[in-house]
Amino acid sequence: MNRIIVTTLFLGALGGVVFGEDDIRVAARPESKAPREFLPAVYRDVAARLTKLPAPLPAKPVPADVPGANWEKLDDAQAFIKDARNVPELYGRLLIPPGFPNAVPEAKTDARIRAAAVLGQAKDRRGIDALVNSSVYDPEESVRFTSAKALKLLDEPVALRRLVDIAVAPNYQKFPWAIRKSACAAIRRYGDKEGIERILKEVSYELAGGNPLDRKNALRGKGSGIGTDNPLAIPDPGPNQQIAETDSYPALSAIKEVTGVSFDKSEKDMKTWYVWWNREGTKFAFKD
Amino acid sequence: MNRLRFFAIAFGFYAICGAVSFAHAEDTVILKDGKTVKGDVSHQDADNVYIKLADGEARAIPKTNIVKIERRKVVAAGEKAPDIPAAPEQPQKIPSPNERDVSKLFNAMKDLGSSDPAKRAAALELAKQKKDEATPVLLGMLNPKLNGDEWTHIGILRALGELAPLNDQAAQTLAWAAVSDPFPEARREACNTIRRTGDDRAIRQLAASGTAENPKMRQSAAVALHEIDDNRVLAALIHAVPMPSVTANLGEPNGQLQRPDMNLPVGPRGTSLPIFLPKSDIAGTATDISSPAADLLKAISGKDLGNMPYGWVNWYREKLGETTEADRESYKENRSMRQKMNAP
Repeated sequence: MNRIIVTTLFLGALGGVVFGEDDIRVAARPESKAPREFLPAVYRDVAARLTKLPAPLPAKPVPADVPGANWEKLDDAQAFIKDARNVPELYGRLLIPPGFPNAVPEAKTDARIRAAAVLGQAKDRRGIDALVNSSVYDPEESVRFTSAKALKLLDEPVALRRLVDIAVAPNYQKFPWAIRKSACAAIRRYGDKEGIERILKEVSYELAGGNPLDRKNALRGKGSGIGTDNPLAIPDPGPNQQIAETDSYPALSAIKEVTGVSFDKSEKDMKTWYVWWNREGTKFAFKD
Repeated sequence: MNRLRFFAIAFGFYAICGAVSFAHAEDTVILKDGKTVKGDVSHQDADNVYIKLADGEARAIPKTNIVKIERRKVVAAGEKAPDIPAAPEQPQKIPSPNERDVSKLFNAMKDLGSSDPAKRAAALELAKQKKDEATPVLLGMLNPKLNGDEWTHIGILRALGELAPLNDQAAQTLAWAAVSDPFPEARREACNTIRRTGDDRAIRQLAASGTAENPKMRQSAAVALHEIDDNRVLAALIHAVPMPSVTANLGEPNGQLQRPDMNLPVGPRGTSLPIFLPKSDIAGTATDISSPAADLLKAISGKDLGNMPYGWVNWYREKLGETTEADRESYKENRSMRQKMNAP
């Protein structure tokens, strides 16, 4: 008995010392909180109930349509929106495209469209990650459209920056043109001119001084000869394979995809794009 | 007798080793809330005791929070241990109205990271109303040692943009946040705030970080300067790129007009083609080709255009849209035969 008491006291004291030390120590990087998890039955139940809501958008939506705007007087929908403000992680999980890790198999297209609209109407920015991923990676066009429109409702510039990051990503193996094109469509649907200005900035960096991935437009201005860091004037090797223009010029391809504007001859001159944006920027309207 | 001597030597050796190891033992500071801090007490002043933790971090602990300090260093026999006296017991201090206001403001500013837009707007409005009191509180909340979350940092940095013009300390903090904030999106928000406010002091600080010795710091500063995209700093960096001390480039004109080495009768309509052979004196090779400014420009632009200032000037002009491909072609076409041949 005494041994048990002594052991318990010792472990208690040890725990106090260990945890006491942990409390007092400071860390440069705060610990990230793990996302909340729910039982699989909860996801199934919410997905099944979501599909009973009316469609958040008309069959052929126009750019001005807002997902879930027709749910204003619908008590069921308002209950979902209220719920999403408390547990956005639940609806974010339902939005994971099928085939991706942690996707909920019961969350079919109808459920994902409504989950996106609910997250948008909740106007809670904790749903940003799920909506950004859904607006780019979901295989269904209708889900991508609803998610991009729902992102706009959150009124959070971080969402637009993340979409632009994907649209101009230079790593064409990790972000192939199909994914970047999808991100460009999401930027169009988001409909903020700041997106164009951010892409234009990236285009200016991409075009100035030439492009090491383009044999016809190699890097310019690099000195060679004695007194430089290339004293033997050895020419730079070009890319070892033929790369598609959408991959060698990701930012240029993105601006063309987002704006729908292209110039035949001088599109690789920044001046062309600045002149166009200064002339057309104020009256520019997104097509989606 | 020999055995006794052996034991005496062994005992003395162990005693010395023990004393040395004991002298290197840690000091222990016992706090009023029952916690302990172990480390090496370095010094103290009127208010604080300074202790160096095992991982090298230095901390200042207010004497009012300390119950006792246990010094583990061995002292010579007969000397009294130089123990640091604990602060005298003080009655429970009632916070002044000013302190209470700061605490209240601190808690109110936490709403800048709220997921509720109405709460964020209210917190921002309060920060604008009490700008002088709120600014130092907001700067303090960016301290990574406080357990702030990403959205709170973003909200604070966004609010600082609304409170512009900012004081020197806030400008420095913005530059620090753009480089060193633990959250990537908060770093970008800091860049956005700097770009929006056009704060020269923050940009100057970032340019200094971009040429620091720490390579991680240089890379982070380059990413921040790319994000801010301020033409002034790019122009200043290009201006700072030096020419290498040896410029014995064969293409460099030396200012003297020379006769051609030979004239070949192969020109159009019977004219001769002048041939200039390289005759420049080549003294040696340059050893100071690279420069911090050129390295920073490479990191900002993501392109290696070498270390010559003229290359970066052309890059800058193209980036601003001042020169086009047509201009470049026209320049090439309009060069004289001598220039095309790199003749002196």
